[in-house]
Amino acid sequence: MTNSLKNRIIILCVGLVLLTTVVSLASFWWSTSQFNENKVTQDINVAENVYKQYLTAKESLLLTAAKVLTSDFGFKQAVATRDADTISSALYNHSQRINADVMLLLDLSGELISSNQPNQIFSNDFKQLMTELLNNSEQSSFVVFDGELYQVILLPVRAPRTVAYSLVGFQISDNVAIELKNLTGMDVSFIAQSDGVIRSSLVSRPTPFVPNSYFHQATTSRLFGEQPIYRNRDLHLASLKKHPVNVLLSADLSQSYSEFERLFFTLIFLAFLTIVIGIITSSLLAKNLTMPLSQLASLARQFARGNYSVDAMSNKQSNEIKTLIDAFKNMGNDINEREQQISFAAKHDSLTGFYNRSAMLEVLNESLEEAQQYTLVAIDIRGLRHINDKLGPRVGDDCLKAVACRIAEFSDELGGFHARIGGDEFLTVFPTLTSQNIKCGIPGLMDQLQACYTIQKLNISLRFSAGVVNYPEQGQQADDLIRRVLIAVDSASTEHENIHYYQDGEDEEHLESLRMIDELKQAISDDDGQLFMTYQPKLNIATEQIDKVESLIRWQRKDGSWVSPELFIDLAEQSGLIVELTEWVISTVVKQVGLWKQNGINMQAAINVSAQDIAYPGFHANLVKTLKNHSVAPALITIELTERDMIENEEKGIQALESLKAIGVKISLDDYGVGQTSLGRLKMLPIDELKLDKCFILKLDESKKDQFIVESTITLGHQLGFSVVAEGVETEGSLELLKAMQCDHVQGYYLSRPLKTDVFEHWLEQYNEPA
Amino acid sequence: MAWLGIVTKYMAALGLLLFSCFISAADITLKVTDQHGQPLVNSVVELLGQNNQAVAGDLPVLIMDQIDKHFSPTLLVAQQGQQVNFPNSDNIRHHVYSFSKAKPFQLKLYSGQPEQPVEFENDGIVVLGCNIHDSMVGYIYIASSPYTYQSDANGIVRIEQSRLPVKISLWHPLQSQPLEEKALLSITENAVSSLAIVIKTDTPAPRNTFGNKFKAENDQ
Repeated sequence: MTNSLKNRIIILCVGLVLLTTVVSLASFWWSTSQFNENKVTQDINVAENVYKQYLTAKESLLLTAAKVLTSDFGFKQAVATRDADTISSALYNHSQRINADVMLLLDLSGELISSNQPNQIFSNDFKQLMTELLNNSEQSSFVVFDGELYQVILLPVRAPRTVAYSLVGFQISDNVAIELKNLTGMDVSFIAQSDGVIRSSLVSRPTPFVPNSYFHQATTSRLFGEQPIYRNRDLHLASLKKHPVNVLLSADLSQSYSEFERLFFTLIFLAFLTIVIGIITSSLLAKNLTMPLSQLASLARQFARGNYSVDAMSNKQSNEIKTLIDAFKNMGNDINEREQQISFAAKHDSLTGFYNRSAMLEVLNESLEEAQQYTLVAIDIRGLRHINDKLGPRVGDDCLKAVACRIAEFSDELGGFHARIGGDEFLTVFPTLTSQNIKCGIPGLMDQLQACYTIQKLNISLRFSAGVVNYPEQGQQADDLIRRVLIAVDSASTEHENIHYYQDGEDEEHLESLRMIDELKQAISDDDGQLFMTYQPKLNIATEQIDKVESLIRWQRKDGSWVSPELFIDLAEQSGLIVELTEWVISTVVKQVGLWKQNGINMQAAINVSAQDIAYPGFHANLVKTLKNHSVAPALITIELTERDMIENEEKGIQALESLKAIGVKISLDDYGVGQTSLGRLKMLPIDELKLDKCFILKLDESKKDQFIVESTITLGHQLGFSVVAEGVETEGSLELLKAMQCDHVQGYYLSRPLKTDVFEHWLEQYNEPA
Repeated sequence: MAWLGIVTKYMAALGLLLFSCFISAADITLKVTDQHGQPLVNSVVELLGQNNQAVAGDLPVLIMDQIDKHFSPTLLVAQQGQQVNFPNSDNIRHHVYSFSKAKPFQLKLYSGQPEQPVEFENDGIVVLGCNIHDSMVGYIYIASSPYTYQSDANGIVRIEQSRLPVKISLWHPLQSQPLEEKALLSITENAVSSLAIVIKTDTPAPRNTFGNKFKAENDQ
């Protein structure tokens, strides 16, 4: 769930909002604190200025009052007369005029001459006071007279030289402090520490009231803990050295705390509101974004199932999503198109456009469900390979196209279908022609096909073989039908027929062959005694010894039935199994020769091989390896090759034979005399031995002609340097004749039939005994 | 600067200091300076114990003029009983007054010649002021001795050799001592011909007016 895009978007949005909120909250906190701090500082500065202005105004008033007093001629006159009562009344009068609370007249030495309140007694040291005040001439100072704080100024009375000093002052009472508070909004406290006089604007005071500690220590309990109520500024006032007077300005912070807290709560509320809005909007956004994605995902799944039709999707999507949907639609169409191409290509032959073999199988399966009789015709172009070789593959391809065209023409007319099922094989299937003779229809097709073709300005005649199978009589299943029609066309090819109608049982024969190939393969690999070698002795006429054998393969199947060597060798050659079979034979024979040699029997063994064996590239190496493994001299092995084989693959064959001869293996030309070996060719062959075909020997003692042929051939062989072997000796007469003709070796039933190893060994013992 | 402090104290006690310089055959020269060595004009040296030969009636009427809101001269030396006229040469009125013990009087706002000259019967110092011009200060020294001298611009006062030995009093309008006090000094016959005298003075504070004060505040 947490991995879904929707949740990620929501988390991202909410995270951003949260981050923004926290950052703005922090910056708000910082700036507000800063602002408050500055505001308070500014307020205090303003208050300080107001206070200074106030005091300056007062001072100015004082100065004016004092100057008016000291400049008054009458007053001067009174002072000059030193008439105490007059002076006192003058002072009183002036104090009333300017509302001064104190007015004193001091002589030059600082003695009190008179005051506006004659009865008042001052405990102050006026000399000291005067000295200090004169130092700040024309500036007011704060002094305490009799427990009251005054702002005073001292001015000389000149007549015109200084004759006395006049001190004029205003009382600083709590009301003054309150008045200042009203002006500045701050609590003002005048503190004369050494005199213990405090004048403060604070109305409700604790007892004892010590402004410094009270204003500095007073706290209030707020949202963020205990906070000081006041911000203070302590200012020194002009005063006497030993009687300092300070003013303490105290800004009440409660209001700003409240404002700050209100702002803070407002911001927190706004932050929560923003987060809620953020969650809602991001959910909507995520939904809008992910909805088309899931639609596209289901579309993709639909494509995967092979359904490429696209339903119209909502038009409200954004451009990007629309583009994506369009791309999906296009992709679906393209895939569909390509899939059709691919499936067409998969089912059809690219050259002719016909079905291929596997598609044909499917189509046939589908069509055969209908209750309709069909005729299957397989057509093989004979000798197409020659056309390809001689005229080039392009001409071959064009031939195939032309043939396909004619087949299509024919079968389309009948409402059938057709396939190319091999390089030069076609299959056409059409409803069986009921009204006409079938055999008339198919020869008609063959006639059409065999008509001359004009390919690239060449007139080409093609010959065809056709196999015919009928459905449902000759098969129910499509694969059976196809196999049978192919068997039929194969038969037609091998038997050089034009048309071969499938006969019941041909398929079973074919299957039997296949089964036999399987068994042979098994027998070779298992080497369990089904296959074994027999040996037919050859008598050396000169020595009257048996010094050669011909090895012959036999196969007795597990069920005990014998398979003729011609049949299974033929099958082996067809199926390519011949290579393994030959290897097995060579291995078995060489091993046996080795064993005999160990037992003191010096026996040369001949092995029959086909031209295909000799041509196989590994043959030579395998033979050499086997000889080496069993420590058998190559001269003990003779390779027998029929005359026909040797002639058919002359070049390659001779080369292979020469390389065999080079290692010491003997070469024998089998069945000599019935083939087409000219004498001219015979002299070229790298052979050691001629083996006369048994047709000349079987009735040698009865046929004079045979005697002439055999005698002259033996003479010819000897003269060409070959030894000569006669096989098929069945009578003593024949043997005697051959002896007379100086044949080198004889072989035949007269001596012995081919024998299994142990029997042969036994026979050999017996044969040698009388000698 | 400790020594200077001590000397200053000493001078304050005596009022003056004497320094012998060189012997002159004729008169004795007094050179009056302030504590900074600046020559003091308008120092008054009065020879005490001399015969008063002149009578009051014979004395001429002295003039204390007022020119450009100043008393002219600033210091007038008069003989006891001598009359002084206070003509007003300015084209504004003045109100000349004195609260001094020697002769308190006022000449209320007038211009030109006042009706009568003022006679100064008692010796002593009279400080003159003008009621409507606070900056005007003038002094009249009323001497009991006819041998009263006023130092010139170089602070020089000459005393004839024949007067010796003699007691003299020394005074200056700006002296630090109370205004009425005079310093006394005896000069013997054998005294050197030139004496340097120091009188400690206070520089008079400027006469502030309200305007000054306000101006100063406005400048702040």
